[in-house]
Amino acid sequence: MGFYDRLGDFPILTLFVATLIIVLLSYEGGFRAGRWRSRRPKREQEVVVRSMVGTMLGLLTFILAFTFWLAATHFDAARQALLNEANAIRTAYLRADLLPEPQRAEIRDLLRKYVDVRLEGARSGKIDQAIAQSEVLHAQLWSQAIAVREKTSSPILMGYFIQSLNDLISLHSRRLMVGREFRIPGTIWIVLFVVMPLASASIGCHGGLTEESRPLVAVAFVLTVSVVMTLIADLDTPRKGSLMVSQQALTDLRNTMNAAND
Amino acid sequence: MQFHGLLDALPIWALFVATLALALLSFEGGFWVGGRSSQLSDPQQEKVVSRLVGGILGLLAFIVGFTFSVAASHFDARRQALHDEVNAIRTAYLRADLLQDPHRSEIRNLLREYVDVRSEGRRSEKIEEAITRSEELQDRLWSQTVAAKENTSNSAFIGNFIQSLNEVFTLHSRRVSAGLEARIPDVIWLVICGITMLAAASIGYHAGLTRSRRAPVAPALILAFSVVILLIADLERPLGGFLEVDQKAMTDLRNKMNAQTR
Repeated sequence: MGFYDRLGDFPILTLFVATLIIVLLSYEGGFRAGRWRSRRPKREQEVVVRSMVGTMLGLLTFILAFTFWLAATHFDAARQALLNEANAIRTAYLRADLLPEPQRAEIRDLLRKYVDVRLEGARSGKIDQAIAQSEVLHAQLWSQAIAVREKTSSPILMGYFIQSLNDLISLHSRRLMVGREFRIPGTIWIVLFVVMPLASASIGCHGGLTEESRPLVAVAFVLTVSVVMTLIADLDTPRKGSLMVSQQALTDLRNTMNAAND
Repeated sequence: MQFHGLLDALPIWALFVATLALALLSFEGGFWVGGRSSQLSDPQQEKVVSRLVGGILGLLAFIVGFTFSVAASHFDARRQALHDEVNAIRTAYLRADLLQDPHRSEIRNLLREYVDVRSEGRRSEKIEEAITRSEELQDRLWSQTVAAKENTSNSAFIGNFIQSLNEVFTLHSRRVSAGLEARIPDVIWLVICGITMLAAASIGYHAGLTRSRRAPVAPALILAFSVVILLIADLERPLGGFLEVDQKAMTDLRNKMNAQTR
């Protein structure tokens, strides 16, 4: 499912135009089919078609709304994960005070570097590189913390630090998961791209059966559906498009750390 | 659970074809019955039938949409459970550093085996076996930890480790329940199947009654519902199917653990 899962990765504008064209073409196809059939002697009854079209629209609306909700949840999760991570880093930074020197200074340096790596990764878009660097830093942080074990006088205080360090590492992998896997599943995209043209063709067909010309509202319908689809894709990729998760929490944290260092 | 066995035994595409075929047959059946009935004399009567058909279709759209959202949340829960488990295992693995040496390496070996069992079980689909093996390993992990208690100077460290180990055990049972037990109840499946057939039959009946031609919208509507039902079945299926929870997090953890031993 690799290809379909990455459907949201298409540039937003491409997706918008593609959706628009698909919906318009299927409407037009449905309209022509309906008009052609309405000229034949034994025709479909308008009421029969009407109730079916209503249901089809209801189904499309429900699926679109639900997928939108799913994408919005994912976007929120990405934002939340970033906030949690900033908090965990801050906690670990503060709790480093519980450790003896020289590990304290060492660990604080590493944590500052960690925030830099993450901000840099978000800014330059070199995510894979930032992930690799972060994981190296995790290992360094951990070995510094364990080095304290031998000579600490108070294991309880050290336990606090260990806890915050584990949180930090877990939140790193949570952010990875949110970024990589909290996506709209490929099958849902396929279903959307099947139901959407079907619904639009049915409306077109209904229109063709009853009227001679295409109503202007059809354009509004096509536009609305395309805009919602685009918005879903945009929400689904928190790292690009016009909707992006703000890195402000990490930037603020970096500034506090620098201030504390001076 | 018997019905689930049946549903899971069928390949996804067979389920799709079966739904489609049954719904189309019901439509034809309804059409035939409607065509045989005497033509309605009163146009008012037709309106009643039209309302009723609209009602059935609306109900179907609502139930299918709702089940779809339940299935998608189950899918999300499975993903979340896997991820939390990976984090817990990683934390326990790191915290084993707090223990003294024969126990430390013993516990790390056990944890590595634990991860192997879990990814292997997922890959080979012998879930029951993997669950039993995991629970054996949990017992051994626990007795190692208790043994470590005897020759430690630092009970606070043991406490930290125990906390993370208990987390691993808890998340095991959560994953089992999210993966195998959180399913859409059989009754709901039966209701969806029943209403789909009834709805298809009533559209057919309505069309037959009004002496309408078979509208192309009818198969389109049936196709749309079949696709959505296919998606629900797919989201619901923990193993097999097009949509699977990405196991990358677990594989990554395993690779990292193996890299560390060398």
